[in-house]
Amino acid sequence: MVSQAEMRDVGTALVAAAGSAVRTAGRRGRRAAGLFVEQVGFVLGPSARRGVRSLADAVLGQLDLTDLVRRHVDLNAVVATVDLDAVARRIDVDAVVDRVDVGALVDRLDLPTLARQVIEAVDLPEIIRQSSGAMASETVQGLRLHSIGADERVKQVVDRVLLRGRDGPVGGAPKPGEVGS
Amino acid sequence: MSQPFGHENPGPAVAVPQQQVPRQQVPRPLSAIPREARPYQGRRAGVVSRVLAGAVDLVVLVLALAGLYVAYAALRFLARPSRFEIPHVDGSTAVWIGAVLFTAYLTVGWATTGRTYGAHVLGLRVVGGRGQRLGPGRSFVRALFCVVFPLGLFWSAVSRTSRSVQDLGLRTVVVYDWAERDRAVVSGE
Repeated sequence: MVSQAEMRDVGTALVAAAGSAVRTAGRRGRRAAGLFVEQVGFVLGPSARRGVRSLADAVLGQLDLTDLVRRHVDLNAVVATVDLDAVARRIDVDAVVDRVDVGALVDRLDLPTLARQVIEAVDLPEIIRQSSGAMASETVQGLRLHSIGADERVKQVVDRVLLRGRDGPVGGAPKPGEVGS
Repeated sequence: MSQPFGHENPGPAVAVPQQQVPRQQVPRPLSAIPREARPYQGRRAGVVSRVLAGAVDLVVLVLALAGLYVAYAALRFLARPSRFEIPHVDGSTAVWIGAVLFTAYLTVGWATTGRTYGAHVLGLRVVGGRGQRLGPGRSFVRALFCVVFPLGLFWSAVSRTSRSVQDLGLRTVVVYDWAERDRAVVSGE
């Protein structure tokens, strides 16, 4: 008569043996399958790769990838991840500038007008006058300006006395072709 | 103030026909005239400026007469130093010489640059009605007119167009023109 405890020990031993056998068989199976796949891939790999490449080309040829990207890809988000400063640092600006036709660029600029605007903006004639002007020229300029002012005042007084409008002040411009009065 | 001609282009003292070309192709000449005076360039001068210019010209005339007198005296001294006497010139002779000299002076000034020394100092120029430089004939007649009847200048104070009697008779205009060069005649003559 086998006791209950002995039966339990035998069962446990059988289960352990069975588990070991299954693990061993699994390892061997996987090794065998890998070997098989390796062998098949060795034989069929190049043609299979060519087939996949042809298939991919055919599929991609039917697709407008640019349009797909535009519609489905957030390019701003992609660009935001790019370190543009690093890219810019890698650009050889000197080489870029060397390729620029500076002469043609300058030809497109209206340099006389630019120079004129600069000279007028800084009032170069006045600077020259102040730096080189003699006392005599300052005196003459003052005399001229004062005489113009006096002309204006005299004209205003005369107009007021003669009850005239101010449509004909000092310096009323003669129009082209105007002669006499 | 009325719109002066030459306001945009302070150089010329007279109306120059607009050129039908792009502005970039004919750059506006730089002006050495002070900004405060530019609006007046080309406008008719008033009586004060003209009288002052005449006064300067009179000073020039007096100096020229004095120079002539000194030169005449020096010549007489060199010719006969032992019997040298200070030459006496009567008034009427001096007036006649002065009138002739002044007429010639005004004629040359107006016919060449459009201004005498007095007008140069005051920044004035005498031009024709269309802005052209006066010819020798008209300059001479105007000069003669000014010498014979100088009071006609004061009519410019009353005239609505700032013209003297001489201007009315000779159809001339006196304008402010501080430009050193005479650019008034580009469209004239």
